[in-house]
Amino acid sequence: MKNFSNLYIFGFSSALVLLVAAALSFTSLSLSDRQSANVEIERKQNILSALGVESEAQEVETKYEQYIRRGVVIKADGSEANGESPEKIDLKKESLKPVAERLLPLYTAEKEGKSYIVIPVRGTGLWGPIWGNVALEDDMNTIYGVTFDHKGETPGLGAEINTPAFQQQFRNKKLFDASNRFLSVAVEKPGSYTPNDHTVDAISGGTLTSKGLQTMLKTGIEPYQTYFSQHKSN
Amino acid sequence: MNIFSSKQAKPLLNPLLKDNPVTAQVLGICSALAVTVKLEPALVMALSVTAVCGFSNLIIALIRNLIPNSIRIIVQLVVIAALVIIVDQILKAFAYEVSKQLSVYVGLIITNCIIMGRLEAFAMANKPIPSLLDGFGNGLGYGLILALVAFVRELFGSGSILGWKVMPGGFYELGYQNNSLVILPPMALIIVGVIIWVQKAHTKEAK
Repeated sequence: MKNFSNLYIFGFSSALVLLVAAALSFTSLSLSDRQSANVEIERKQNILSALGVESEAQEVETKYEQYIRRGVVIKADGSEANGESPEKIDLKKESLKPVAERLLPLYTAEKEGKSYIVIPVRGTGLWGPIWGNVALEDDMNTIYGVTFDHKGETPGLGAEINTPAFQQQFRNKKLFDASNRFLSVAVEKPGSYTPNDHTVDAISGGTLTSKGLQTMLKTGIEPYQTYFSQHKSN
Repeated sequence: MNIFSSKQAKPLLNPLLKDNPVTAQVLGICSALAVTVKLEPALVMALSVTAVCGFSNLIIALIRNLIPNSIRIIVQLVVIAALVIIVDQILKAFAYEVSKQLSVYVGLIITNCIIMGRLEAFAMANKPIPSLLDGFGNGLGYGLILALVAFVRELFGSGSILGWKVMPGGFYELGYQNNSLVILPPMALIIVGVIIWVQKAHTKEAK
């Protein structure tokens, strides 16, 4: 093995890094359209899935047209924010704003003659972001279905939030109590509470993810209260 | 030059059985446990590792005389990391579902000891074409074990192959159940162990 001068080593590494950077930028740029299309498909699949509609990638568009009436962005006072589209709202940025200034995306949907709304939520789990969609019945109180997903929760523990077994628990849970107080849905250790309308079982070994999910639901849905009271059917 | 003459084919064929990176060298076990619950992600993972292993071997062999010895490990890592990111990007664009199932394990190909092992042991000292074949051979050898393990685990764990139900419905009526133990990681280790056992017994007989 030859001995190389420091200058050569420096030059060699710079050239290598430049080449690699060029190759990676090229790949990333040329594939980004397809990748964002995939992400968009997944977003729509998740919204549909909260409504209990499962869809393959090819049929997402048709099903989305079929069930989702429209997507709107509202403000905390319940009024519509004009000129905003719900797809473009960055939930992470919005969650940092004071509640009064937040832009809140929501989708209205219709399935088998009944109307629903779907609210996208986002929060933090143990290792990274978690997110999901909550579908409510037209009383703006009863949960019709939920989907959750995560970036990198522990497989077998926190990662279980994206399994049907966990998500089905939320069905028919209520956000408000009898006196119309906002309670959201708490995630509690199994056996530590008496079954009620506002609590589901946490995941054993996934306490921090479960707690993050509970906070996500509470802080994510709370700002919609004014909208709920304006639009609920009795 | 005929690349399939017996001498040339050696780097390609040896790692498939005799020198298999998983069963003979016991490398890359971690991902062999993690991505073998279903056959499809296992095959995609095998393909990804084969591509990364082959092309990183080729690139390193091409520039092997230019690499300063003092930074060779860093250079190898940069090449591997770049290829893995490209593979990851391609999967996200063309096989989104599978890339989600593989999640972090695509990124972790970077740390797969098979790849860096081949760079150090083979590509740094050999010509590009044999290095490319050696890389493909080792990737395929790894993939072969992955596919075998995933086949057994999906068949007995989920009763399906590549997502198609293959267990006859009658079995379930007779009380047969999918074995959820097979889905758990320890079972992958046991299956790999059995494969190693069979292979060791076989090579002993051959001697």
